[in-house]
Order: sequence, then structure tokens, then C-alpha cells
Amino acid sequence: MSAPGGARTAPGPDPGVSRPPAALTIVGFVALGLLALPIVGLLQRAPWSALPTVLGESEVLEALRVSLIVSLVATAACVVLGLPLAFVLARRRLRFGRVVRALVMLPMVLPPVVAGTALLFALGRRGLVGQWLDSWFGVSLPFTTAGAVVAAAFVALPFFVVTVEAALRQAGDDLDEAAATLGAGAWSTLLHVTLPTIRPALAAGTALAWARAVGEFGATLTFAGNFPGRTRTLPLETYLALERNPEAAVAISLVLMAVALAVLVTLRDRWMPR
Amino acid sequence: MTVALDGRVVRSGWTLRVDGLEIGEGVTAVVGANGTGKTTLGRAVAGLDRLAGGRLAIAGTVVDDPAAGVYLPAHQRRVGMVFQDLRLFGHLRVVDNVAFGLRRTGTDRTAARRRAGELLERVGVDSGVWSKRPAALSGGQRQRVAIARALAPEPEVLIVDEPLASVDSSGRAGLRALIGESPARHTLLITHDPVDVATLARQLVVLDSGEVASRGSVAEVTARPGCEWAATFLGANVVPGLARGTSVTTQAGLVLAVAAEAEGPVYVTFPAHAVTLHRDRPAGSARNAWQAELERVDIDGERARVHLGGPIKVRADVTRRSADELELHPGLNIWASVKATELTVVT
Amino acid sequence: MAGRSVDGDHRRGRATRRQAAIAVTAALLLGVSCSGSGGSETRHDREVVVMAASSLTDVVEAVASSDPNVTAILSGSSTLVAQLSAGAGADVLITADAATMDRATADGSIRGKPVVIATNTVVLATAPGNPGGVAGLADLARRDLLVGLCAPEVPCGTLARRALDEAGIVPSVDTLELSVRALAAKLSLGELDAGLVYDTDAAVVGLSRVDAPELDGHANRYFIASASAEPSPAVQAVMDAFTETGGAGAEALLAHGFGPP
Repeated sequence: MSAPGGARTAPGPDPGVSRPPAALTIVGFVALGLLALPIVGLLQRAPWSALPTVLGESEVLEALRVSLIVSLVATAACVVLGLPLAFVLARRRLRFGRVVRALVMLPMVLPPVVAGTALLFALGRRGLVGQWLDSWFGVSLPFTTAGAVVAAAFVALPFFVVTVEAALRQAGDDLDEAAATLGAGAWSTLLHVTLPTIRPALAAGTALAWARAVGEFGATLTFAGNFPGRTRTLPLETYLALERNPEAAVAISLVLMAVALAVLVTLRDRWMPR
Repeated sequence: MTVALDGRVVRSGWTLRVDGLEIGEGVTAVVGANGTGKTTLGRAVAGLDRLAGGRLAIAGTVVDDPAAGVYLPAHQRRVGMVFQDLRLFGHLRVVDNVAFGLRRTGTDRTAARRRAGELLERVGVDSGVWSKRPAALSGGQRQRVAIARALAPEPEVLIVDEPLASVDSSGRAGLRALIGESPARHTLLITHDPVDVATLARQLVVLDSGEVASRGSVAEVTARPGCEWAATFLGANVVPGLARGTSVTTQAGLVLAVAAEAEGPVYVTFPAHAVTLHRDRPAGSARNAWQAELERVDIDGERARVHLGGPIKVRADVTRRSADELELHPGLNIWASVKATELTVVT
Repeated sequence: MAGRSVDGDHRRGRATRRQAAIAVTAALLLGVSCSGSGGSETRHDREVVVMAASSLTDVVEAVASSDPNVTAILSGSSTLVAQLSAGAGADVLITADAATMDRATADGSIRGKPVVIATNTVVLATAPGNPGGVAGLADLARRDLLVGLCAPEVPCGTLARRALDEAGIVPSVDTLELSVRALAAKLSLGELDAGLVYDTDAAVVGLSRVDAPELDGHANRYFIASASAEPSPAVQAVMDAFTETGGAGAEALLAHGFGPP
């Protein structure tokens, strides 16, 4: 049995048996509209001809520079810290595994302002750990670019960890055992078998973490503040521009959206299982 | 040189106990019903599962002894393993799968690939697929790659777990030959295929409920199988022949009618209890009948195992009462028959 | 029934939206999604929607709790004006300075005549105990101090900048906070050494103050105006509460330390 009409052009599962009821399809498309509408709204307000001028403004370029530095360093931190954490979660029997896993995912569901406040209480100049950083090393994170990196890494880390942990669980340790019988030690196995096996998840996790870091707003504002050239990232610039010059806000939004779409489309095509 | 195991392995609440097992050189078949610990035994030897107690020595070197705090991890033992589910590296080309073990022991890439090529040639994997990923290969080819990969680092012990389970019949004979030619000093063949035992094994270990039920040469174990499952398994007759349609001609020219069609060299297997003995030529439905010379009768409780010579060497299990009624004794000429539906053709 | 208070704080609203959006992992888009309006579109007949500058939070909530018809939306003045111009529905707008009110009347979203209802001054506030040893306004130029101001986009920032310009002080700023409340909170946590906040906000969080004569005479004026040129009786009643002596709004302003018009 095949679907009536010839609407489907992309290859996919035969819809004959798995086709959803009509009502479900309709609601599905309504949801799609809900997701697409804001994008359309942004596009119809786009000052296409003024785009180069607006994006060339020094404030915008400065925010772009801060955003790039902050998001890239934060993503690197996510990979360096997240990979070991993903291994611990996937391969170790933890005493309070469910609690630990919930803790890891917390920043994903926490309102970013709460995340920023929590960071302030932990790493602020008067915070739990921050006071020691300040008195021992003279390091104070709030209101610095490093603080913005910490905020972005905090909210982006779960995206990397969850993606990589899932892949590690799915891969299991069968191939690691095979490698061991072939003379590969733990590090060698990690490098030559485990990591290459989960490479798609590593790429996806990195891209998701980066996208989240670029879009970070609430935690950055709360923990790192807002100062041009230091902590004012593109999302903060967008927010401020909305009041100063709405055209600029739309222009920056378009750029952020284009980058986000590019990341997601690439992910879907190259790294995510269909 | 032996692999000596005297100890126990605990896996999720289940224990394999092995007392004084010595595995000699050549191919040793490990048989037993499902879940009796065959794979666990292999994993313990390979170092993938640790002993909970006791001691394991390979060629005189203790590799696992919890009491003494000795444990040589898998990658430091010279034990290769062909897993039942193969576990080829999907991200590596076929040739690099085989070269993997050599690379880990410090061989440079070019030399490792050259050696991998030689091994792939030896196991009969066409060079056209060497640079493909394992997923592009057929089941039989993948099985050959897995064997080549395990052999590449020249292990002292090769463990092969159910090698033919996932291979279609056309590739079996060749694979069986490969295992028979294994250059490893000790080859542990985990199997539930009587043909593997008949054609490859020099020694036999029977596991039953997590313990060694019997061990020794194939003849010794066949004489005292140690458990019901093994008695039935080892009582299976394995007769080589040449198949043509639904008939198989044995080397001595006896033609057996079989239920399934086949072509070429095959093995016909049938359980000992499927063989019926008669004083006179049988009439009726049992078409496969031949005259045999009775060599020996082993009485075991109510069961009598009759060893027959003649065109094919066959074992027949009859009740002790039938044996008495037929007045069985060595040297007797007697008719044997077996129904076509009892015969299994294995390639 | 007490008057409802719609949370108009943009950051909280954005946070909620972000949680939902995480599900689609389009995280990058989120920083942008704050541009939507947070106003309430559905109104009952007698409901009066009051948009007010966030420095008036306590005052407006006091009025809302005594008048069940009042729904309050609180945010930075410029944000409120942007929301109004984007079509958010409100009956009354209270801004923290003339500039933002002018924008609202200029683009036609406010048609009533603006009236001054209160004044507020900025003060030099420090972290509890003044750990930075701030002695006067000129210390804001010290590089060793963590100094915070309101962003120039919000009235308290405009006011602070004007006062500093007049005094000829170039401050060494570390952060430009988007709301005076956020700035006051970071001062009270001790994360910032010094900053310029409204007198009233310094009082709310109990900040230490340092005398700064240069700030005298720098006050902003709070304006109230109705959206319609001919407000309904319910809306007029809310307006009167703020503009007439003895009204609930006027009393609340005085009680929270705002200066007279």
C-alpha cells in the first residue's frame, strides 16, 4: 500500500502503515507554524539595503568579536571538561547516578538568570569559591570576559555532555574489549577506537554547545554584566539595540539566526542519524 | 605448554567454577548448552573477566591470581579473540582493522598494512574490499576479517566464539579450514556444532551449569560425556559425503536419502538414538538401511551404546532390553536404519 | 481579589521562553527572542493595565494591591516604550524620565498629556561596609574599583552620565546594568564596589552611601500619561491616584522615598 497523491518527494519510511491520523497532522503543522512565525516576522522587518551599514557599526563589530571569543573559548572548555564527565556518567557505576545526571542537566532547564545568580554566589567576588580566588590569586570573574566565558560554558556544558554520554552508552564497551584483546591499552583504546566511534556525537555535541554559548544572554548579563568590548555579546547588543535602533536589532538577529540555521542544518545532514 | 585454570568467575550473580583445567596445544572445543559458561571461560582467559578466586596461568606465567594480587589486563596478554558478534571497527577500513593489533604493538603503518594484506589474502578476503568499511562486506567476509584481525598480533591463545553462527552455509567449510589451520599455540573453539567438534577438535571441554562436566581427548570425552546434554551432543553421528539433490553418497559408496536438497561436499548428522538395529533387512518406511559390523557395546544403566563399523562408522543408542533381545555382541553382522527425516545436512 | 501583577521583567520572560526553546536546541536564536512584546493583550472591561518603570515596582504593587482592577507591567522605561510602539496594550504609562515619555508621545502610542508625579535623585552607593574605601564621586575613576552604572539606554543611566559629565569625571566602568535594580543588587552582594543608583533603590536594598555634592540637583522626573486622550473613568481613577494629593499612588510614592513633583 502506498500513499495517495505524489506529495512526498524525499525518501523516508513508507507512510502506508505509519501515517498519523489527519487531526494529528493538522496540529503538527500548526506547531510548525508557531515555530516558523517569529522567523517570518523578523524577515519581513529586515532592513535588507541597510544591512551592511548596520552590521558594520563599531558596536556591532565589537559585540561580534566578544561573542566569537567568548563562545569559542567556552566551547573549548565544554569539550575539555565535558568529555571526561560524559565518560564518568556513561562508564562508571555512580552511587547517586540519577541525582548526578539530573545535576548535569540542570543548566538546561534552569532559567539563565537563575544560573547567573547561582554563579555569582559561587564564583563572585564574595561567593563561596570566588572569595578564595580573589584573596589567593587576585582573580575576580564577574564583569570580565573570563566571567562571560564561565557563564556561557555553564549553560552550554550539558548539551555537550548529554550528547556524548548518550553516544557512549549506545556504543557500549564491546569495541573497547575487542581493542583490548588486540593489545590496545586504555588510552590507546580511547584515542583509536572510542573517540572515532562516537565522532558524530562529538561533532554534534560541540556544535550544540557552541550554538548555546553564542545565544547565551541571561546568565552572562547577571554574572558578567554588560560592558562593550569586554562582556557585551551579540545577544546583549541586540537587546540594547532594540531600544536604541530597532533596525540594528533586526539585522543582528538575522545574522544570529542564519548562523544557528546553518549549524542545525549541517548537524542534521552530516552528523545526526536520520 | 598449557593454559591452566583453577578458579571461579562471577558474572552478575552467576558463577563459573573450573577446577584444574589444563588446555593443551591445538584446537580445544568448548561445548555445553546455552548459558553454561562457555563464553565466560573464554573471556576469563582473554582477561576480559577477572577471576573472583583461584589462578590462571598461560604457558607457565600466572596472569590472574586475586589472592596474590596478580592481574595482567587483556591488552598485556597474548590472547586473541574472535567474538561471536565480531566487533569489527566500523570507522576503520578492512585492512586497518587487521593492522590494528600490529599498530598497537609498535609496527609502523606501512609494515602493518603489508602484513594485514598477507593475512587477508590467507583468509581469502579479496583485495578489492580491503579499503572498504566492514559494513560493506558480507557476513562470511566479515567473519574472515575478524579471524585475520585476531591472528595479526600472533597470539599464543586464540579464542573463537561460535564462529559459524552468523555465516551462511556456503562459507562454512572454508572458515572451518581456517580455524583448523590456526597458527596460535592454543585455539579455544566455543561451539555448539557437532561438525566443528568432529572435524576440528583435538581436545574437548564440556561445561554444564557453570562447571566442567568432562574434559580430555575427543574419544575420552565421548566415552564419558559427564552430562545428559553432552551425551546427546556427542552421540551425534557425523558422516561426510557428496550431496546431489536429496541424496548423499558417502565415501564408501552408501547412498543416504535426505529431506533437504544440497550440492557438493557435506556432512550428514543424526543423533545416536535415531539409529534402529535389526536382525534382518528392514522393510517399510526406513529407506536408509545398511549392513554393519558390530564393534562394541557399552552398557550405561538402561542405555546401551552400540558402535558400528561397515560402510559408515556410526553410534546407535538402544535400550538395554532391545540389546538383550537382539543378542548383541561384537562381530555380529546386523542391519542399521535411519529415517530420512532424522538426517541433517550440514555444509 | 487582589490586583494581578503581570511580570513584565524581560529577563524572566525570556528565561521561560528559553526553557521551552531548549527542546528544539535552537539555542542560538534565543538571545534574539527577547524582542517580542511581553504585554497582555486580553483585557477585561474594568481592567486597567499600568506600565511602569521598574524603579516604581514597590509603589505600583502597593496601588495594585488596593485596587483589584489594576494590572501592573514593570520593566525599564525604554523597554516599555518599545513594547507600546510594537502594539502592546496598556492604559497608563509611567516612565522614569522625560525622554522616554517623549518617545511614546511622539510615535502616538500615548495620547494623554504627561504629568510629573514624582522625582528621584541618584546617589553614590557602595558595597556593604564600603570595602573599596570610596570617598567621593571622583573615586569612580579609580581603576582598582569595580564600578557599575546603569546603561545609557535607561533613565538612571542617562542621569548618571549627565551628572558625571558635568562634574568632569570619566568613570572607570566595569558594567552597564540594564536595570537599576540589578545594579543595586550587585552592589549589595559586594560584587561591585561603587555605583550610581536611585535614592529609593539604595534605600530598598539598604546600601551604604557616600556624600557626593556633585550629584545635587540631578534628579529625574517621573511622568504619568494615559494612552487615550479621553480615558475611561476607571483609567482616570488610576491616574488620579497618582496625581492628586492623598491618592493611593501619591501616598505610596512618598512612603517609598520619592521626592515631590
